[in-house]
Amino acid sequence: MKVVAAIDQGTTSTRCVLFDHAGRMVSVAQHEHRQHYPQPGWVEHDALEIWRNVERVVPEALRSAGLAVADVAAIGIANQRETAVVWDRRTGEPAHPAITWQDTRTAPLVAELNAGPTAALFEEVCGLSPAGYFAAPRLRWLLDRVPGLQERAEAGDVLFGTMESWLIWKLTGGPIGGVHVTDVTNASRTMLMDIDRLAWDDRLLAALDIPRALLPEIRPNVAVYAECTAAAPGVPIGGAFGDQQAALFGQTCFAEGEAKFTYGTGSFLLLNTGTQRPTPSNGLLPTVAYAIGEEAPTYAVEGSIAMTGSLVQWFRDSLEMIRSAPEIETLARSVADNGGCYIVPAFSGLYAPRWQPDARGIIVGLTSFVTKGHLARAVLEATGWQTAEVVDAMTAVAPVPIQRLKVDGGMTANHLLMQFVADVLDVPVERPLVLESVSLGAAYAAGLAVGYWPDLEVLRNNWHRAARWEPAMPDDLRRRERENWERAVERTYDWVR
Amino acid sequence: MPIQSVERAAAIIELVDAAPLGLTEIARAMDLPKPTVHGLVRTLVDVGFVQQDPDTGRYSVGDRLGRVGHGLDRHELRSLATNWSDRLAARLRLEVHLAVPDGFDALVLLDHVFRPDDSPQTLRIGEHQPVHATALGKVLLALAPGVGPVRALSLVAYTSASLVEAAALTAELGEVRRRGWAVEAGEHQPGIGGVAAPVRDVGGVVVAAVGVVGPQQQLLDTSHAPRPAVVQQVVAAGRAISQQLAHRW
Repeated sequence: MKVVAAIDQGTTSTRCVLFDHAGRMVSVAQHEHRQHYPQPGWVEHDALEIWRNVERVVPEALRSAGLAVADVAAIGIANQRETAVVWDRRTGEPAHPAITWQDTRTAPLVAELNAGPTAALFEEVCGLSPAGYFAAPRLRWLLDRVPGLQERAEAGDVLFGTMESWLIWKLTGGPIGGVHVTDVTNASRTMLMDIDRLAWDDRLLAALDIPRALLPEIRPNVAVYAECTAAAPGVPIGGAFGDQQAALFGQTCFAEGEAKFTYGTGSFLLLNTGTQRPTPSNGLLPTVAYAIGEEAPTYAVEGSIAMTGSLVQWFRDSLEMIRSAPEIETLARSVADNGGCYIVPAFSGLYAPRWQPDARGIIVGLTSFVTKGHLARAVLEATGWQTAEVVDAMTAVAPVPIQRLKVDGGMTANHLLMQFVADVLDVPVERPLVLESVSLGAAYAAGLAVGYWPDLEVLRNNWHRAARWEPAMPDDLRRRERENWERAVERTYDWVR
Repeated sequence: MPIQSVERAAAIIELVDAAPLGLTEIARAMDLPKPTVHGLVRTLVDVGFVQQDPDTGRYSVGDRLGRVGHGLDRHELRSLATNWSDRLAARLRLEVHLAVPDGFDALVLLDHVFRPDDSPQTLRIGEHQPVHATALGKVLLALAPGVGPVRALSLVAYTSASLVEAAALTAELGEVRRRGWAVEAGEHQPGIGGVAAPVRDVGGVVVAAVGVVGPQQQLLDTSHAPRPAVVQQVVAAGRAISQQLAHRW
């Protein structure tokens, strides 16, 4: 049996998932890596540890399926986005631990950039206003703070990449012939790529004083980059994707107006906007959805919620109300409704579409009637209402109204939450049979590149509905609850002085 | 009469709860030979009540002991089972159900994966079923503690095929225990067949059942025996979910 392998290099772990022709999961292997917190707000990963995990998970996934390297038609990669690493092109040694997307050390640098003359240029060219969220400020920080790195970069001795670049370089030989590439979706999250031309922009490079020699070549998502010499020798790497775009592709949202919502630590809504570059609005970000070979790229708008799964984790670990995350459903079902209690998780301000950096979280509506069951409801409902706000913002720019919401991610196992999302959106919510949309998207890219799958239509037919939640909330109740939620949100504003 | 090794095991747990200890220290505190203590400690480590620090070699109370007294949360069960339930549906192209007991005579559907043919289907999570008329129910009735006994059930005839004689049901439950899976043949809904297998928590207690349902002719042959491939996949899913439960701590 021939399979396609996806390497999903995530924030906490690295996995290899094998898929068959029908897009069904054949096997999976996974290893976690360590999180390093050298200072408050700093979060780093050891790029070599992650590489060693890649070397382990690929053979492990093959072994558990009883397959050999020769059975793998292609490898695709999906990765945590915006995590930056710089390494020596001769030794393969990282110059510094990888700075992850959760890391906030570049805030002062970004503030300076936003006050300077080039802020508008960034938005015009790459579609993004400078923010600490993206990869380029991390690269600038590395060039400033690692002794001698700027000189080594100018001399062409070091290479920069997000995780897919690093892994592809390692997989294809490293110092001996390793290819140094990135894909359009990861590049679109650096703040350095012209989102129309899909090329590095010299003006943006100049604004951050980043030598071009350091940067990988930008390639389509679906294209054979090179053959592996390690982990799966001889197997072509047929594609790479940033994780959220991979999930959009894995959910087969190939048509304009199709959208998916991935529920994880944070949550991300991506809406396919076709071949037109979307204009930024309401705090939604324009981004590249995918590029297939030499075809024109497809664009997307992205809206995110900072705290969804992480709010449940906080409820578990900091409040110790539950022992495991799924138990929140048990607790929430112990009561009939929220008992008048609302939680707004503005732990580090409010993001799209409100953008209130000085807001902080609140629990409001407390009375002696309220129990921890009501708090559990309020935690889940916060995810539902935030979903509704992002979907509403998206609807304003969508070419067609969103008729149904395709969801994926671990929280979709929470039946109470999914029903609530359907209720507050007043559209059906559907989950696919393969919940591993990120891995599936990477596999689809690689499989298309080598002809394992002939076209997008075949992939679309692989998508199967595993569950569908129909809206069932009366209109007047929805209106009343939404008003309450909005009154609660307003009470979080301007808390930080 | 007290059983000595149980008393000693309890004493070891209390000792290492007070402070992490090495084997020599435990042996000295209990005034027992080291090989005796070693056997007891190894057994406690194997069942997860005691754990050993890989660096210092010292023993302390195991994670599992903290969980004693808390049953398996049913939504954690659903979450841990999801990947396997989905896989079962993908492989057999049938609707998948995961069920837990609800009282002594009924079950409740904890998860439901649609038949992957994109036809309109309604989510059945939360649906109650009688334990004597479905494959899931027979698994729970035969194997799960607190479900049954047969003589306490009212054996309602849902169809002409329902088992309404206690003796016949008891004989079939014996079969379920012997072979480790159960079948239904139009006993709850006419024309609908099902195959189900047990899901066990650590320690082997049956806590749930996983199974497929669908048109009888798709699952069963004319003598109501299920297709071997269906049985094999359903039993494998039950085992895989059980292993997932064992790995949760």
